[in-house]
Amino acid sequence: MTRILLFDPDVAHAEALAMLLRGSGREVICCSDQRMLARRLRERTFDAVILYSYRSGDWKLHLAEIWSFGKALLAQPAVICFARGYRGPQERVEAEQRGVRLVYEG
Amino acid sequence: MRDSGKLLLEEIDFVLAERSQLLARGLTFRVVHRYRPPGADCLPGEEIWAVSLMQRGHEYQLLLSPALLILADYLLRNSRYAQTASQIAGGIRRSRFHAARMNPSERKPRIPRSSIKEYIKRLHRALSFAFRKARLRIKPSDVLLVQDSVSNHVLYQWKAVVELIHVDSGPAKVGLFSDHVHQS
Repeated sequence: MTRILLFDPDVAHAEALAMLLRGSGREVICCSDQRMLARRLRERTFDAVILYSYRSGDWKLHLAEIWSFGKALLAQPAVICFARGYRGPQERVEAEQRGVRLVYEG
Repeated sequence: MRDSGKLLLEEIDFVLAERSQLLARGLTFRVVHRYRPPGADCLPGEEIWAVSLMQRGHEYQLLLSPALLILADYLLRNSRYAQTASQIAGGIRRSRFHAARMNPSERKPRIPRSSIKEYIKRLHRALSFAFRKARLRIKPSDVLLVQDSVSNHVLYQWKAVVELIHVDSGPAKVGLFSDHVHQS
């Protein structure tokens, strides 16, 4: 089963998304702050990490944290960042260069 | 929420498919040979021109010396089995293609068994530069494997998908576009 870590400071939004993802057969673990994110990453490995970004560039702060766990290729989770509102191509270029998939929502 | 949920599911499927393909097949490397006689397949005497990492449609050339190009070409084209330094040195010596590039009398490079270990370190360094340029967070030793055998030998294996490109020798009249590129 695909294991996903969902980081979203908006707890209600995270729960709604987690329900949707669980409904499609994924195991989802939610966290809403940086400390919790680090703890979850330490505890187990994930296939993907979803970062919800509400402010421009805030996803970059969490990347070092995510990639500091499990340096091996097999242990690297795929990272998808969902950003609220379009922030121009520059942020998307930066994300691509860091190996992160940035998706604008709405 | 329903629309963003659908978008989210599509994106997760996409990145997981990309990741599992990478894990299953390994990275793709392109080996370019030039000076192939027109109409031939792959012959001794061709030059190993470049070895590059292919990632997301971009080409990142590994900065290799002539000796390292020979070793990289050999390891990439024989990536099915892990091999000891003696097997690699012997394989290169016995391969007509690689031996043709290593004639000491013509000041071409040699790859003795004793230097394989050092060459592998240099290949790791070249891979590390290329990974950094490609923004890949992969350890070179996860791609070019160095494994201990059950005795005291060390085995080397370059796990990758290999794309071999040939650039044919052009006609005698050399112009800017005289070379023909073929993928084989």
